[in-house]
Amino acid sequence: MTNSELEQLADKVLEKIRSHHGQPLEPTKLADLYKTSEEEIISSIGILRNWGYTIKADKERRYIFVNAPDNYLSTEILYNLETKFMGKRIYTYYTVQSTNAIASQLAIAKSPEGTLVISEHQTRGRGRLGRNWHSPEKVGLYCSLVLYPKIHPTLAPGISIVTAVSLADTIASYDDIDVKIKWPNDILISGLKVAGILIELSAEIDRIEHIVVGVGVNLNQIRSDFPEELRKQATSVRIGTKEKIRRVEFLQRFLKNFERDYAAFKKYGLKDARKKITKYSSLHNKEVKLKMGRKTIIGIVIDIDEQGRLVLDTKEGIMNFNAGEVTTH
Amino acid sequence: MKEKTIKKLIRLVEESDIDQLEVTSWGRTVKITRRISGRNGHAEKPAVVQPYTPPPSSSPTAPVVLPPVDIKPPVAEKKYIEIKSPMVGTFYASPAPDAPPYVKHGQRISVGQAVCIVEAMKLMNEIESEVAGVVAKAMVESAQPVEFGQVLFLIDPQG
Repeated sequence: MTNSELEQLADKVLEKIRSHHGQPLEPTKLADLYKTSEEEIISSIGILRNWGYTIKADKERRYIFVNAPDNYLSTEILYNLETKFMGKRIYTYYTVQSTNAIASQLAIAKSPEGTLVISEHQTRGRGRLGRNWHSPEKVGLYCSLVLYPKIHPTLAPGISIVTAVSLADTIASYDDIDVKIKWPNDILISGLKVAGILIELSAEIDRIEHIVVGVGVNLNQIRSDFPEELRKQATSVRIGTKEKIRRVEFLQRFLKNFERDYAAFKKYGLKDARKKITKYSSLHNKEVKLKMGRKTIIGIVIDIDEQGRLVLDTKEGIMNFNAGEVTTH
Repeated sequence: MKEKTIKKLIRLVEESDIDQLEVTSWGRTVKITRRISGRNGHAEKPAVVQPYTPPPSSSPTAPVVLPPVDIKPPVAEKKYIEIKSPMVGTFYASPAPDAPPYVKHGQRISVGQAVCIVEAMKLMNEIESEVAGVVAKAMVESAQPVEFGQVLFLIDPQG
């Protein structure tokens, strides 16, 4: 049996022993079931343990499933994933420069919609404008999704709002914590940044070729995990909820929310997302400074419009903006 | 695209040696292909395919104003080809503030080469050139806001 055949067998064995609810299973029974030898069943158990699964053997050398690791293994992500296409094709890595860069390549190669690229660690996690996203291993979620929406490119920035809303909903599903969205898509807990979103569009003037949605979330960091210079700006879901987050489950919840919100967006635009962003908005009714190149505009945030633009009440009247850097003061 | 314009384009293909012509103008693409029958290489009348017409964004407050469709024959009168912004946003000449710009004045560029980024609501749109040539002029300064259809670069195709 080749390595990949053994891995496939390991996946099947895992499914079987996992569904056995802690009841022991004989290796000979598994060998019969998958028409293979007992040695190969033993090898496949070895593979599963290597992946991080805890599988006990009792006195009679029967196997008992104990628990699954909280690692981004395709098998784990797909287990009980309640989506139709989002995250159904998965590319996992231990370390990459940037998941967005890989996802772009996959999109050019026409990988199916919803393709997920995920890495334990990013060496050059892309933030906006070449800024880095601090991406240490084992504590975060760094992933990218490939999309091919059949909408006009001028509507594409709406995806930014949709992603922010899905992510805020996911965080809010854990606990009654104070999640906010700072327009357009920064996610904050108690005023500190917990997640970042970077979206890259490839389009002709009249047609979208693909969109890559990159998401970075601080999940299980504790304060001391952040470098000194980030401690006053960054937080994690764990710091917010005071409980350790099962990362695979967080990802699954996000994929489910995002699939739903993305479908609604394609059908109805930002109708649903707008209601939610109003609920989550950290800027509503506040006076803000919007910096656009050399121009700075001061105004009160009164709305986010049907295109996701920030609506400001300024001295010169009510104006809508889709770009610029917002600061409260 | 108007029927009259399409007919004009068909005539253009019929009278020329070219087998295929694709013209994109403000969100509408027309592709005209001449079918060559396999045996005697006899050219048939060109076939017209109008592949995909996107719905115009129709919200009342949309800042997007589509200019009138105005197609000139490919024999352009002016020397420069314009690269325009496909959306409202912020123009960035380089991928990061301290990085060198995508393209410089006088630089030779090829089809599909990235020339800049336009950002809207943290969605980054890397703009690629649809033509080969030399960058004759950058029309916008980095980090400045741009409008839909605003000219970003002038490219000299003969350069």
